[in-house]
Amino acid sequence: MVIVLGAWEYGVRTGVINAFLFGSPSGTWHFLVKGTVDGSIFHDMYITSEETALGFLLGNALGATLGLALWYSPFLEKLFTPFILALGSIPIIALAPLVIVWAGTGLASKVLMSTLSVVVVALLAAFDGARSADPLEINLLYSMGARKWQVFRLVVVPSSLTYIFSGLKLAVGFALIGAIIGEFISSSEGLGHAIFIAGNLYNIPKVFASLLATIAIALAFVYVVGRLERLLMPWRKLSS
Amino acid sequence: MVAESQRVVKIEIRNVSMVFGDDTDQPTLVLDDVSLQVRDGEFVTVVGPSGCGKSTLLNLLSGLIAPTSGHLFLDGKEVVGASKNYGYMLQRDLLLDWRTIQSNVTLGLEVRGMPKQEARALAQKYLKFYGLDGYEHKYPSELSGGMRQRAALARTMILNPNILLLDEPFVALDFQTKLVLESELAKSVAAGRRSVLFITHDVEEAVSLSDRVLVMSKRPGRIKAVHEIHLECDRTDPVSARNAPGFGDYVTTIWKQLEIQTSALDMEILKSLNLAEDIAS
Ligand SMILES: Nc1ncnc2c1ncn2[C@@H]1O[C@H](COP(=O)(O)OP(=O)(O)O)[C@@H](O)[C@H]1O
Ligand SMILES: [Mg+2]
Repeated sequence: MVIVLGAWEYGVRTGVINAFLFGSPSGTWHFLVKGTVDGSIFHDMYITSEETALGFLLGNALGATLGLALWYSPFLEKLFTPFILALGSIPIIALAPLVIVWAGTGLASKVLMSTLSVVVVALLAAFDGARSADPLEINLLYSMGARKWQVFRLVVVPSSLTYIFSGLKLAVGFALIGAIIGEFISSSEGLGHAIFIAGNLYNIPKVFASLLATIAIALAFVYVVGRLERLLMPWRKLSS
Repeated sequence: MVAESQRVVKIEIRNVSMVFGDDTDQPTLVLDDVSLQVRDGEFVTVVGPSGCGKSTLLNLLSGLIAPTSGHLFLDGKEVVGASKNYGYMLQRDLLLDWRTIQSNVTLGLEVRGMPKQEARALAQKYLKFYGLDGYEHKYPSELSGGMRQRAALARTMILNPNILLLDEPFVALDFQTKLVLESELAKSVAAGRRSVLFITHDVEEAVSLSDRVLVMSKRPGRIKAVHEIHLECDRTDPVSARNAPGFGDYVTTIWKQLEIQTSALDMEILKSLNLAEDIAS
């Protein structure tokens, strides 16, 4: 996602150089100001943020829970691994038509797209994290008389936090992609909708203005995740 | 005093052999028919060259791995899967990075369901005893190796274990810190009635702390000699033990038994055994 963002940003810069073909900063600025004044850009940002936030939360909650559960039960691991790999290898856009059929064209379908696009990343991160738990630390807990669920709570979950948080940072991008693809396919509002319409009308400056708004959302999410990480893992800043 | 032979056996290894990689084309016999017993209240140490299978013995007792053949018992119960209810200390302190020193020390109490307030109050006593007051709210990454190992000792002793499995817990520490922690271990062991299986390759440490020292051969590890240690001194003071009459004789004898195994090996290995200086002199 960082690379994609970087490429977009590079595209914006290229636009500055080739103002005629790729839109101009003043044109982009114009649309930013216009959108700000009439509030449309905030409205689209709000819509997309809401979809992204819900998809992000649902996808990560589901993914992390499943990923950790796979550690807890080797049976679940055997059962689910093939499905997870299969789901992970489907391009998210290929699911869009199904999602629209099942969840309609409103908020739910965008949230579902976003959730689906996040869940596998979150699951794999949590599962890798759980497996990264030190077997000797686990043994130490058993030496104290711990039961499996205590080992899980006191060692496995905390050990996996680092992995879960790198997953969360990746998931910001995936959640946005899911929501915006959902809006591309079918919607009447949101940044994805704005980009899609403007793109079809060759209104490049408006595309860029909406892209900037999208990037702003991504940055805000990454910032919140970073704050949360420092809050939940206060020991981390000491060891680095 | 109860005659030694009548005391209950707390730790037992019975005819244990261990082969690593037996499904590969190069299986390695690491332990060859090892048997040992630690009776109630005994401090038994196993010394042996690096790679002879000392840590493997402990991993077997803790249930981390299963033996190729033979049986292991802790507190009379055969070891099947992860063992429970024993004190466990390794070269690595195994402090949990995400818990403060205090909550690392209360870890076992939390596992056993002691109320938080009570656990903290108890931890405070142990932290004080092990010279860690003022560090209770620090994270492990903020402490030196010696301090961390003290915290690990506090975490172990707060559960008042009657069986201790210790694998070179002090090997990474400087000499001074090591003597201090040896003494603290000896005091804790003397204060409670604990049965200890201690692993080390430091012969002086072994002789100063133990009732009995078992010498292992190089791989495949076998018990090649047993020494009952009798020293007329305060055994909780590692310095006085080192100065006691007879200490040097034990050390020399055991070194020789190790030396036979190591004389053919190069200086690198001797260094890793801390023997280089003694052999050079
Ligand atoms: N899990 C394992 N798999 C394969 N080989 C192992 C394993 N654990 C230990 N070994 C081998 O067993 C031998 C003894 O190891 P260890 O018990 O750690 O020795 P020590 O503690 O005496 O130095 C070494 O050669 C080591 O490489
Ligand atoms: Mg070892």
